[in-house]
Amino acid sequence: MILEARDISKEFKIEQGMFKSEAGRTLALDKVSFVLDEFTTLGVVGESGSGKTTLAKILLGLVPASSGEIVFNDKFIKDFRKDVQIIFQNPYNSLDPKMRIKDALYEPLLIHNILPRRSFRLKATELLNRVGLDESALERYPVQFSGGQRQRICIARAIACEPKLLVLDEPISSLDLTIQAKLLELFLELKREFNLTYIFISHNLCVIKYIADKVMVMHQGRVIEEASSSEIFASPSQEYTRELLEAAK
Amino acid sequence: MKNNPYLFWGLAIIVFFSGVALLAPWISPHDPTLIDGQNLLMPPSLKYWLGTDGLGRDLLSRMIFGARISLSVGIIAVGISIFLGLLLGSCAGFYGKTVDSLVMRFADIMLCIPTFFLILAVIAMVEPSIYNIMIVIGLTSWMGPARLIRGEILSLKEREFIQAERALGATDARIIIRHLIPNAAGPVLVNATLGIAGAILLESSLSFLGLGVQPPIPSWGNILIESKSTLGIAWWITLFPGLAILVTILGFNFISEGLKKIIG
Ligand SMILES: Nc1ncnc2c1ncn2[C@@H]1O[C@H](COP(=O)(O)OP(=O)(O)O)[C@@H](O)[C@H]1O
Ligand SMILES: [Mg+2]
Repeated sequence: MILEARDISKEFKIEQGMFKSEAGRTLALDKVSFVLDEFTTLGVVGESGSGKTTLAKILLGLVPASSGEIVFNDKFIKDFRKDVQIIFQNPYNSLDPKMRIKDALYEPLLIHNILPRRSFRLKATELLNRVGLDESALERYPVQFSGGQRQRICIARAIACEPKLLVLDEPISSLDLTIQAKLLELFLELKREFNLTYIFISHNLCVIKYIADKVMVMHQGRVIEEASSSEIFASPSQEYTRELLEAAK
Repeated sequence: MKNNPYLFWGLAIIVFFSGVALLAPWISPHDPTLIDGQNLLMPPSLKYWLGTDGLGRDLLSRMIFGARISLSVGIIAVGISIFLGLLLGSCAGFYGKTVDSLVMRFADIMLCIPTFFLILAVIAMVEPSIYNIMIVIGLTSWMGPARLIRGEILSLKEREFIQAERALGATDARIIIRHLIPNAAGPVLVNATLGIAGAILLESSLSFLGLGVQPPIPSWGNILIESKSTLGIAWWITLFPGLAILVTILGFNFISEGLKKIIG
């Protein structure tokens, strides 16, 4: 086990007007619990608005949970900010537009003192090569790259931290089909190569079936079904999961 | 540059005046403080290109040295206001909640008091030296830049690249300085160039009330005000400093307009 989430709930207050009076609440997550085993891939599926991104952000400590707790196994996760990384859905928004690719890749190296400064360039080149880009990318800015290439750069930046757990929030949903397939392949390779554990979020069941060992189905902030990938696809126990499967065909 | 005539002409004007200001001791034809009783109120001539003032001082030399004072008042005052604006605005936008409320209410209060009267009140209490004027103008004009920065940062901080930066373990200071401010700086730069023009004008207005940079140090503002007593007889003492102020302000406005175009 690399992490255990216990009863995570998240309530967003919707504020209105100049006095920030409360106009309503959304329960984005409702007592979500799960266990994640090391070196596996947990697939998280659910329609838009089911709370997947909120869950990812809570796991990364980017937004606080309203209640519940996450316990990381300190055998794997020693330095949380280094060992747990995230890839976001929208690659056009995930890189600082004012920063050259090399500086984006140097960020994790600087922050975590991973290497001496003089080795940065070599390391950055190595990382780029690993995700299928070459050294010429270093001096360029994000606008000069396509969505798929930017996502590769984000992956390079994340693995620069030498993470143990990678949360992938719909990392290929906004890309062309052919690029989706290539990136999916890249994720599988990296997982083997760096002994990673994945939480792979998607609304596409085919993708989940391909990559996940265990699947968690979310609906309106709740986990409605959790089982091994083969079980879910062979015999879904919930009506909602069956609907999702039907819709994906 | 070619398809941005505003920026080109703006920069041309400002580079010209800055060059004049920097080279003042070497290019001014006469000593700007030398009083010459033989040559009072001389109209423009070959010896005195822009004429002399009521004390027989060379107007061109006074204006060349005045450029130093006026431009540095403008630039340093705006430097102070931008620094404060960036600091307070980015903290307000980034930390939100109490910090935001405190900073923005403070800015609102400052904005309620007409800046000019605030400056007058302060200058009436402290000595109106060039440094005090820079500081006072800076301290009373950070609210605009602060609001701008805050607004930009409010929308930027939710963007994924900032979230990714947090996930990488970047400190707040690093996120603000390396990522938020560079991305929010565009509109502030536009604002700053306008601010410099405003500050130069403000110093001139203060001079007009005798609270600007004090003679015998020449600033465009106080040269202009000294011309008041000779208005009917010596048109050149009014015209040339007035023109210099006008063209400089135009220059900064052009730059600001040009920058707006680049930033989009
Ligand atoms: N910052 C926020 N403020 C208010 N409501 C939010 C916020 N973020 C997400 N929500 C709400 O929480 C619910 C779950 O959103 P999200 O986690 O983005 O879903 P998903 O990623 O599965 O599409 C949605 O109803 C959404 O409107
Ligand atoms: Mg989402």
